[in-house]
Amino acid sequence: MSEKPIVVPGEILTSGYYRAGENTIKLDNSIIATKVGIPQTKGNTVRVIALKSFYVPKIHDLVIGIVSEVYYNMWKVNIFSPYVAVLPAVDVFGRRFDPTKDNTLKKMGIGTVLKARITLFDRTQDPVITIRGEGLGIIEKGFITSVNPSKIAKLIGKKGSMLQKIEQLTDTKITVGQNGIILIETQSIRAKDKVIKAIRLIEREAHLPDLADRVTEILKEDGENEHEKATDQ
Amino acid sequence: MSTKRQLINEQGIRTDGRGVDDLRPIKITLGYLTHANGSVLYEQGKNKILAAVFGPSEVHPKHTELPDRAILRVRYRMAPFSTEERKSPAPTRREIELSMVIRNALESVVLTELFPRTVIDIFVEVLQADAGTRVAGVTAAALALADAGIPMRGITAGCAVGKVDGKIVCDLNDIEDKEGEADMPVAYIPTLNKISLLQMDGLMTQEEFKQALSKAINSAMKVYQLQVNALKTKYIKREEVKK
Repeated sequence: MSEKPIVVPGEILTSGYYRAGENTIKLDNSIIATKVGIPQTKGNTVRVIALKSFYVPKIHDLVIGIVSEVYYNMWKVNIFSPYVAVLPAVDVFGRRFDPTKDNTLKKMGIGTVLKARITLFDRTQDPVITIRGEGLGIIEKGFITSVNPSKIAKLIGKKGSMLQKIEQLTDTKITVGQNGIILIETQSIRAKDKVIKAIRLIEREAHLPDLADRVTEILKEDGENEHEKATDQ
Repeated sequence: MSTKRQLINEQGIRTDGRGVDDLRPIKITLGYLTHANGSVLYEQGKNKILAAVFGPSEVHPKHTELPDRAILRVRYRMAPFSTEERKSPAPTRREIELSMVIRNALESVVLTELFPRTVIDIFVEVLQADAGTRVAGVTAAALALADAGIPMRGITAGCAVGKVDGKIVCDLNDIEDKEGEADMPVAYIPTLNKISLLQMDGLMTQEEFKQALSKAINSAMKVYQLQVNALKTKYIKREEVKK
């Protein structure tokens, strides 16, 4: 069994001189968990790594979204969070944007998939995104899948190690949006399936030890099978 | 009027074989639905309740949104096949009221202030009813909220108590609910030591009420332990399956 205990909302983690970190609140001098997850103490901050969560926008986050509504001067983009993002037309057409000449609908219709960055967001206004920047813009090819946002840290791994490993073993390029939407760029459907299989494994077992070994195992296992199939033919 | 039947015998055994303080068997299946953000199938005796949570998400219609917090929208419904006789599928006054009661019981635990201008939808569907569905609904909804990863101050657990044949009994079944002298559903937040729902139908003396309330809290604590176990084992189970 995993050494790490799982806490539930309302469970007292500690009391006294501690700061309430992510997924915790301070109540009567006690730090209590607000989500189901694994507690972690760093310095005097206590936080809970949630086992299931949803995406809350943060400025500078890279997200992958889908255009859901088109207006004459902006697009509404579904970024799979409680708030729908706004992409102003000025961001796409430039400062010389003229609503009488530039047609937003012709530029990007409903269903267009975008790689974007969040530029503005607070409690009072919906997130504003930009597609201007390196690597940002309309996504024209690739496969899209999703993962629970709480598992993104594990999917990327320490300094991107897990992601690099998956990319190397499957020969793909993977972009992970902070909102849990993942873009897999590859020509091979088999490689895409392998990546998705690895992602599902991480989603399922992220909180258990030896994750990297199990991911390598599953990717290599498939590779061997693939090889066997190829030689059979 | 027909003569009243005996609901508790001389040994203190109830019609379904339980003692006065015993709860009906409880079974919790978390993540029962794949499309909902959080879900649970909660079974308490013959009660079968399905709770599902969506959100937080954008509010429609827009004018109902609140600038400082998320709104909770609870829909409590009884399926037409949930009762002994077919129930009309149209929402009744009772269902609308219970939706409000469940919402009020949950609002005190959900950290709605973290997500202004959004809505959290909670659906409580009673598939089979056998008394005490409102508290079972609160219990199930709290589990579904925790399963959806919605931040909460604690988990609400509910249990009904009542007066049957002059005795205070826990977790009433259908006959006891209909033929007993009083019925009191209570929802309790163990970690905060607070009561978030308390209703009463029937008559009790002050002493009986105090006894009933303490029994209700004890029963809610038992339910809470089962809730906690279910939430914790949902993630541990997977490892066992793998081994």
